[in-house]
Amino acid sequence: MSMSLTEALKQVKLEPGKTYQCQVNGYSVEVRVSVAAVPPPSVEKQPRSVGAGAPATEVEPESSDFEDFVMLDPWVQLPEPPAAFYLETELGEPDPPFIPEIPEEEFEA
Amino acid sequence: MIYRQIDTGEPLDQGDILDGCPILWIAGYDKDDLRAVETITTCERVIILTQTCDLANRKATAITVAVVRDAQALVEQHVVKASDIKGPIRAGRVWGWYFLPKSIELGVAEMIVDLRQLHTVRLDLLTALCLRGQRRGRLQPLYREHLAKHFADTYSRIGLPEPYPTD
Repeated sequence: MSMSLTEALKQVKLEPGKTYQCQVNGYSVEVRVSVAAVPPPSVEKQPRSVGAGAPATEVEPESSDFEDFVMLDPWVQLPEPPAAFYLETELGEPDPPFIPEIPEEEFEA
Repeated sequence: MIYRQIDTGEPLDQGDILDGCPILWIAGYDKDDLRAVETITTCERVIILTQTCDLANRKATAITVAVVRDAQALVEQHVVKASDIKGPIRAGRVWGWYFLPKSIELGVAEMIVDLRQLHTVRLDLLTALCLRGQRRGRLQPLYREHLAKHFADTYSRIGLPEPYPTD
């Protein structure tokens, strides 16, 4: 029968500030008891030797529900339509700029 | 209803969609002599972008239009994917491309307004097109303002050389 360390220690009467030592399967085990500052994690941490030396894995930030709302730049230029006809043009004079009629009252301060 | 059919004699307005508008493109040129260029003329479906107030007050004689492209044709040319149209383009999330839905009443399929290729056309030419019955319809208020906002944002947005640090 295998039991987690948390479950096993739950069966032991522990007092904060005390250190308990014992031998289990030829190993020396020390348990130091203190008041938890934060709620105990639900998952036990792996023994340090498992990941010793390995860099800590960065946790991917949770993706936003609004990522799809980002505006995009066009990834292609829409092609010009097929030609109707070709024409060679010569340089000419441009049309004069259109000057709108400005009402007289616009000039009164 | 996003579109409305317009009587032939009604004045032009922002959001009017016209068929067969002649558009000139520069096809070729001699870099050593730019006095003569080779042009292509195509007849395109266009949408008017010039402000309603400028048209109403006859303050504009050169009208800004954008070419309206058939969405399905662009898919068949492998320019865009159908999923691109159903996704970001239809949602208005691509700068410079504005999606217009199909309309059985107007007889138009799904379209994309290409706001990155603008042209200026004479007012009297567009009026002549209307009188010839080539005005397909008009984008209704609110929708045309939505298009105008996208048009304005496309050209007023500020691009940063790189994202600023957020640490």
